[in-house]
Amino acid sequence: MQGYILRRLIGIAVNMVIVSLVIFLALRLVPNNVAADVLGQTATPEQYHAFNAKYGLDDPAPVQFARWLGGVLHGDFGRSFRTNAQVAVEFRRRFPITLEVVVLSFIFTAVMGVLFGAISALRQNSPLDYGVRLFSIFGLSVPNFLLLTCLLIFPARWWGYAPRFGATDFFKDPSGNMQLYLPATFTLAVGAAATLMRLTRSAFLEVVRQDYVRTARAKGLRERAIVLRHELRNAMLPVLTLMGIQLGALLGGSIILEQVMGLPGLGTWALAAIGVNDYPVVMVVALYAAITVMVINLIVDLSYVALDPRIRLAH
Amino acid sequence: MASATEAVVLGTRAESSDSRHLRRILGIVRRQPLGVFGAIVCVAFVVVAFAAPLITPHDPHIFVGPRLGRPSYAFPFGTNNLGQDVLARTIYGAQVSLVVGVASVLLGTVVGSALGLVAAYCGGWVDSAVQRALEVVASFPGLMLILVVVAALSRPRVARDVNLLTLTWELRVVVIAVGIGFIFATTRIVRSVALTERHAPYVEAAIACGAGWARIMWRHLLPNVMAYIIVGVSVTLGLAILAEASLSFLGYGVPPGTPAWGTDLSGINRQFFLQAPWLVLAPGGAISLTLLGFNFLGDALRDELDPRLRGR
Repeated sequence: MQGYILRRLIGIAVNMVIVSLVIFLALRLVPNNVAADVLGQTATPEQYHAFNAKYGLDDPAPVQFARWLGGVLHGDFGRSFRTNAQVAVEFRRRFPITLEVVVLSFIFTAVMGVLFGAISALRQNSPLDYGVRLFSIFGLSVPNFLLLTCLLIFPARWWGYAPRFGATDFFKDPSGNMQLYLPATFTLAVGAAATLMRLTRSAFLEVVRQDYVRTARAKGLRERAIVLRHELRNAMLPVLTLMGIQLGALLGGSIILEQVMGLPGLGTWALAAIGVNDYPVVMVVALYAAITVMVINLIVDLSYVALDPRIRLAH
Repeated sequence: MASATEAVVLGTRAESSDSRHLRRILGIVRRQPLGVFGAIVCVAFVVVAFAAPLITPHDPHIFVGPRLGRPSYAFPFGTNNLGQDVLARTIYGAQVSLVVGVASVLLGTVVGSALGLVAAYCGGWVDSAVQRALEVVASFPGLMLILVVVAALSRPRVARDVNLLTLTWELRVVVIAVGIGFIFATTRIVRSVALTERHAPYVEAAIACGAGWARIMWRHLLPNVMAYIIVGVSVTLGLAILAEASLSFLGYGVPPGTPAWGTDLSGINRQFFLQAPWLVLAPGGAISLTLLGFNFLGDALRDELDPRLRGR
């Protein structure tokens, strides 16, 4: 077990180097004038030269990459070309916002998805089942940026209600913080929950027809025990895989939510940085996203073993 | 006499084959009413995109009405803050969605299938390299990957009044960015299916008969993974349209001003949504209805075609 985790962690480290090399090459692939993007067209040639000298943008690409990688290994993530802010400092400031968005919307996704998916399967072809299926196809078809936009507009028009705009720190103003985050993250979660509901429903329908469920029922187990210990546990395997994928995808969803709600999180930061090829920022956000996704995959794989004793880790 | 009997027999056979087809189609309609609805929506979407110049009453680029005009007889979906016809912009928006959707899915499916077949057929270091690439790409959240690719390539410019092929070419950066994710999604599915077929007795028999690698892949492996590819395409088309709209919404897809569903929901328009909700409802309704159609169609196709679900 420990050996397996160690090997996976080494694999993640190797992937991180490849990922950062790929992003770096991608961003330096097309010769683009970062100085012109950042300083604007009105800057003088001297200002361009000073800018390029300051950030070492005149050096050959391998030198730039080596310098960046060396800095990262020493804990120095460089400065943003666009704002000259220290990337590490800015990251720490913005990270809690994105974390809160992702965690809250993941909780909404997981609870709604598994709960309604399971109920829908256990009461197959009941009005409730049709309701859940209708909701899930609706949730799949309405883009999250449209739903979030509607959240800003229609309650305001009909009831004069608008979710609070702008970020407030949870620890300073918990209720103000929740007034913004709860409606927004719930709205973001609708699409992901719809996908999860469909998968949970079909996974459950698969499981309830299995022989061991009939055996459990024949043994006279209570329905509660059958559902929780026999059905849920087995249906969870594909559901967990999707939940892992969705947790990663919500990092992308957070970009949209932050953009719509005007939150200064990692998403809006990366978005502004991409526009001017501010690669120290893009690299850090992309690497953070990649590490998160890979660690989630590892956790999902490990939880398989915990859920299903038939699964063994590959050696 | 003999020939007459033969004619009669042939006649009935032809007739029964016709009615069998009819019955099969009716069966699909009865089994998959939502799928048929989805197919109708998808066809309507394609027709609207192609016929946009013929069916729009106004040019989507020029200022034809009052600023922020309410929906009226002349402008059924109202006008935006520049006095452009929202209906015309929504209809033209279908063009961007269609060309980016079809082109990126085509790119993803063709390249991805080829990569998956080659990886499964060759094995060894080729397969390892493909798998490593899959791992790297899979470690990005989808939207992040698309944004990095767009950042790497330059942003598209779109001229007015171009035909759909020119539009596809002008939007090639968006097509590549959206399509790259699908390449690897397709590779993963095709590789895993082709791997199981690769060592099936019929493939070994073909190799024993002296069939070359191209023949094995084209004639033996490809037909067996085709059902998976078709099911993948229908689902992916909806995802591609959604990805383009999200990208345009974030300001990194089609250039501002181009009539597209994502762009019309973003940018300067957002300042007027509260007083003019029709600006949201028209493009938002169009994209939701289109995605609904593709989702229904994809579900129905999967039920009908997916070999794993067949016969249930």
